[in-house]
This record gives sequence, C-alpha cells and structure tokens, in this order.
Amino acid sequence: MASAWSWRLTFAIAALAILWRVIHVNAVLYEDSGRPRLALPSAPGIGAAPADLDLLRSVLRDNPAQVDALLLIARDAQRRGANEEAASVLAAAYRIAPIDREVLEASSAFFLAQARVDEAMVALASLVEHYPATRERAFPVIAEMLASGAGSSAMRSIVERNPGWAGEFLLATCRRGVDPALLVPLLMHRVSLGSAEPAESGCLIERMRNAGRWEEAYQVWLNTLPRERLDDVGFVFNGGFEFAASGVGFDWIPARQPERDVGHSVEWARTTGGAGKRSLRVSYNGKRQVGSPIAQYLALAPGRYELAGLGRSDAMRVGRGVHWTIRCVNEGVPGAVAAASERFTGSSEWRPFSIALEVDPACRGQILQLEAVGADESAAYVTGTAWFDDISLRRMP
Amino acid sequence: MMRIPAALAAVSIVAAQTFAQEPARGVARLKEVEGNVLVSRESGLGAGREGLRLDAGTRVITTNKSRATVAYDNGCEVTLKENERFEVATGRPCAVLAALPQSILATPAGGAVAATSVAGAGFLATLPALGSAAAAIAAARSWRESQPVSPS
Repeated sequence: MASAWSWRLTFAIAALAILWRVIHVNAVLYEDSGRPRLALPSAPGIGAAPADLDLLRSVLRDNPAQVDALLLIARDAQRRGANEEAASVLAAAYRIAPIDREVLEASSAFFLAQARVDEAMVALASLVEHYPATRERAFPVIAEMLASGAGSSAMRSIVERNPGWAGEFLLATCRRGVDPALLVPLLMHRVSLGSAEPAESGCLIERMRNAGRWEEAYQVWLNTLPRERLDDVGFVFNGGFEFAASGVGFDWIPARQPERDVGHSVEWARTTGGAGKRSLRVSYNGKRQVGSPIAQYLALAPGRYELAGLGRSDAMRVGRGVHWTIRCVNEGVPGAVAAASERFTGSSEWRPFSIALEVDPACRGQILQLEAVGADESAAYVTGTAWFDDISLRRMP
Repeated sequence: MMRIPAALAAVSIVAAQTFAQEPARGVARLKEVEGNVLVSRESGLGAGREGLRLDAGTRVITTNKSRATVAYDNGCEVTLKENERFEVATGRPCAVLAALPQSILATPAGGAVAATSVAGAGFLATLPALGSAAAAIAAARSWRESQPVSPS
C-alpha cells in the first residue's frame, strides 16, 4: 500500500515537473511568435567582458535555446581567435534555429571569413531561400564563390536541388557581368527540369554573343530548344514563320516597342500564296522608322551562302521600300551591310528573292534584319504592308 | 495461297541485290545516339538519327545529356560526349580522329578563394559588437524585432 502511494507521489511530482517545464518554455522562454524570449538584465554596471560572458552564460542557463546569446558568444570567440569554439557555438545555434536569419548570416560570415566555403554556401543557400530580402546582398557573394571555384561541391548540390531562387540568382548574376560560362551548368540543369525562364537563357546568350563567343552562345541556345524544334534548326531558324518567335537567342526577335514609337508592327499571320500556314506580316504606318521590325542573329561559319525567301508588298507607296540585310556583329554592335536583298516597294504578288553572301573569317556572328531602305543615311518613312515567308540559307560550294 | 509470299520474297531478293550493288553514301554513320544530336546539312543543322549516313565534312554536335558515336566504314569509331562537336574527317589514323571531338562550352577559369572572404565581410557587420552584453542583447532584440519573423 505504501509503495503504491510512493509510486503515485513520484508520478505526480514528475508530471508537475513536466507541466512546469512546458509552461516555462512556452510562456516564459519563448514569445508568441516562436522566437526565444530574451532575458534582459537591468542591473547597471555591466560592461567588462568577463562579466558580459558570465551574463550571457546565465542567459543560456535559463534558456539554452537563446540563439542571440549563442551568436554573441560565438562572435566573441571569433574575435579572440578561438575559431573552433566559435564554430561549435555557431553549430549549436544552427541546430537550435536552422532557419533563423541571424544564425544563418552569422554562420555565413564566419565560415566565409574562415574560407570554409562549403559550409558557408550551405548557410547562404538557406539564407536566400528563406529570406528573399537578403538576396541582393547574398547573390554577389555566392557568385564570387562560384567564380573562385570554391564551394564547388556545395554549389553542385544546390544546382542539383534547383531551389526556387536559382532562376533569380542566375539572372541577377548574369546581369552583374559574371562570366556566363559559370552559370551555364545551372541553366542547363534548369532547362532539363523545364524550369528555366526565357530571360535566363536570353541573358546568358546575349552576354556570350557580345563577348564574341558565338559558338558557345549558339550551343547554349540549341540546348534550350525542345526536341521537336531540333529536327530542322537550319541556318535561319523558323524561316517559314510557322512557330511564334521567342525573341531569345538565335530565334526571330520582333520589335517590342509600340507601333506609334517605331512606325511598324509585326505579326505572324495566316495567308495564301506563301509557304505553309503562316507568314510574316510587317505593317508600316507612314511614320519615321525606328529600328528594325524583325531580326535574327546568325552564327554562320566562314564561307559562301545564299539566302532565299518569298516576299510580297502591298500598297508600299511612301519611301524607298524595305529590304533584308545581313551585317556582321562585333561586340554586340551590327556593322556595315555585308549583303542586302532587292527592295520591296509598291504592290506585288508573292515572288522569290535571294541574296548571295560571303562570310569572312573575321565575321564570327551576323544579324539578318528587315530594314527600311536608306534608314542608315537619313530618316526613312514607309507605308503599307510587307509579307515574307520561307526564308532559308544554303551553304554554297 | 502461296503466290503473295512468294512474290514478296522475290521483291525482297531483287531489292536486296539492288542495294547491295549501290555504293553506300558517305564515309560513316551515326550510332548509339542518345539525347539530341545534330548534324550539319546544306541548309544548316538538323536532327541526327541512329544509322544516319555521314559524308566527310559533316559536323556532328551533341547537346546537353546526349552522346553519339561516329562509326566509320573502316571500323574506326569516334565517340562524342555531351556538348561536343566533331567534323567527319578522313585520311587520318583512327587514334587521331578519336581525339578530335571538342567541347563547345568553355570551362570557366577558377579564381582566388580569398575573394570570398572579402565578399563575406558585409555579413560580419550584421550583428552588434559584443562590448556590453546587456546593450548587445538589447540591440540584438531591437534588431530582431525590426526583421520579418517568418521566412518567406
């Protein structure tokens, strides 16, 4: 009988102790938000480092989950050069609060300072994943680690995981001017997962083109195409205008500005007399022509080529008409006309046209574009509509 | 009842003899094609399929996660890994041909690891300095309260 009471008493004490701990943890040690509650001492005169550390330790004794105290102790240890101690304290903080912003920032900074880049990369990846506001500051750091080749194993695992911020990182880093080759593996992986945005590949390809790395740019672009579009890439892609233009890489790039600003508009339209179901229709409103309504970058190897196509003009009465030109592109800037088609003006039925072209070895990349005749020399005004279809390039013997 | 199979057999034999007499076009063929492989044609790149005959001068390009082997009629085989190019050449020893495929995508050059320490310096200023523990904890608390509580 006595042993039964003693057992019940022990059980009751244990239950009360657990209950007290539950209440203490939930009502005293943590705030409603889930953050550890800071024990703020009001005692004056605290300032000397040993006493400060004693205070921090007492805070931790009260609440071992007090990550702010852990971070301060870690920082103090780091300042004293006790890096292993700092690392173990940070590791403790990380175990307690693995997605706490301050823990992640402190861990990133510490491991970066110690050149422990794999660990830093893990902390940074978690930081940017959970706290988008940190990306602007953290992305350049990650990019530098990527550029240095440090943290490559952690980076590989991040690439494999393809986190939600990967596209934003890729685009931001590309725009900052980092070597695009560094970002290609990430882009390729995202393409294979179907998660890459056109802006990501567009930025990388443009930067490669501008750097004169045309073959790489073309290869990256090829890798972004769906399998069915690889059946007939051609020197001119989608020359039959059967597919909508992506405006990226080596696809057609239609003018994006409003017609009222540039004097023309472009559309893929159904027509009869051309080849296939759709043709390119360019409408000119009679205003001064600004830029080209449509263009496509080419990466032709040196040699002789012939560009051929079908064209039709309708009521193009003002100005000297339009023509297709091919120009070499250096450092992103189109040069002088290397070859030009006949002019399209007035009204005509569908008719074939062709351009002979010789690509010089120094001309590593080109642009094919529709231009108003004479726009290089003076203001050009065009009215009416031009239709084009079945544009292709053949290599000549 | 046996007329149709017999006729088919006869046609097959004649066809086989015809193809046997006609010399095969090209000097090699594509085999073990995996993923998206492209070959150059008169009007630009097109898809490369298993068994496609290749003329001398044809360029073979592999894309991401793809590979292919160019099998010469003389038995020489050249294997392309992903993102490589190879121009079908003749008149060279097989070992030379096998070494010709080139990677198209450049491997970025590595930089200095120390750069990361400099870049990380910005993070070091995040927390208040540990001068007075009470002030530091108060500052930390104040800083925390100004930050979003939930990760997004």
